[in-house]
Amino acid sequence: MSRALEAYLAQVDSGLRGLTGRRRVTLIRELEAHLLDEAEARGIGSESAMSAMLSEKEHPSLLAEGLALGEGQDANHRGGTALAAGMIIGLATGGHLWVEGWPWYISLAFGTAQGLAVGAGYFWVRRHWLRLDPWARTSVAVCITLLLSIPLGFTTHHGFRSTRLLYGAFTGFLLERHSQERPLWQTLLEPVVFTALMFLLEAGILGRVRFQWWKVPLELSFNATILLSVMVALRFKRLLAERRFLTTQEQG
Amino acid sequence: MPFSPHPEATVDRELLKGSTPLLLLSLLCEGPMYGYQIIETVRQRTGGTYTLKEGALYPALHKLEATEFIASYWETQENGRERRYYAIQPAGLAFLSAKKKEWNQFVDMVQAFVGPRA
Repeated sequence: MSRALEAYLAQVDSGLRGLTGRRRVTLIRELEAHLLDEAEARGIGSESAMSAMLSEKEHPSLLAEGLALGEGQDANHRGGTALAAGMIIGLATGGHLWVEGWPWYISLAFGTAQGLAVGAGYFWVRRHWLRLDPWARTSVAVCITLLLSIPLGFTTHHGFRSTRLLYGAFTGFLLERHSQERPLWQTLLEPVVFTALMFLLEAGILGRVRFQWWKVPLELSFNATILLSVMVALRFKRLLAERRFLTTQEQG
Repeated sequence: MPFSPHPEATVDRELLKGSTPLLLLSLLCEGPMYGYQIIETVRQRTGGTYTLKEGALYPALHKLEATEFIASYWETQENGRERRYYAIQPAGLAFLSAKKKEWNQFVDMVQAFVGPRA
């Protein structure tokens, strides 16, 4: 690497106070790639030409200040919106169980696991697979939320129940699919299909519960609550993102 | 200030203030781009009138990424060097579409007073 470029980047790096080491490395790596792109486009090959190019740039301390300025707010936005959206899902599902007559501690445990582990956890990590195509995104989301929902398995009176993890996976599926507009018929069909799947698994294959018709509306309404809470959480998150965007615009 | 107008520029700075995020979303609608490519595209399309500086570009891109309107990824070039590309996301497209409608309404409204472009 050019000595002038190395010195310039070192100065920018020293100005990136308050950022994590990993974030600093990413910002400097990106800036280096940018400056090398520019040098290549301008046919710069010598050390003096590179120095001349860098002298046209913003002062390293000013550039570092600009780069670091919104980093904390961005991190807060990411964490805050993930938590808030997750809480919506947790409150809705935990609240539904409580209204259905489940003990408060089971409802609380389910809501907390569903909200914090599955909901917030999903929003926290989803940026890592945003680049994938829609089907790959959905598959990854289902797998990740299946893992994140392990605490859900313990929210019963009977030790660990693996089928509980499917509620987390269903939430992940809905979160990913409803990140884009969905046709109404698909939206309506989703809780119905999942309800049928759960009965097939629990009553038909595993024989863990006895199928009774009166249980169908309870299960269906719970799955519909998951769907509604996911839609509200996504809408809420989008509103916060738009608000953040408009704040950014105002700041120029 | 996201843009640095040249002295001969006749566009009011205030009109441009804060337009960087929307401009970036519009550009990324055309496909994934990397930082230097964005700066060059803006420069070429404005006939060199406006220069987007690194200190304005990257914070704006990172903010858009935090809102998940765009996503980034690293790609290794044939010469072994890496570039960080930014690509618009469905949420960004939906938001841009809404903002474009707002923008067109605003332009129509202003034109009703000041008249269409001469």
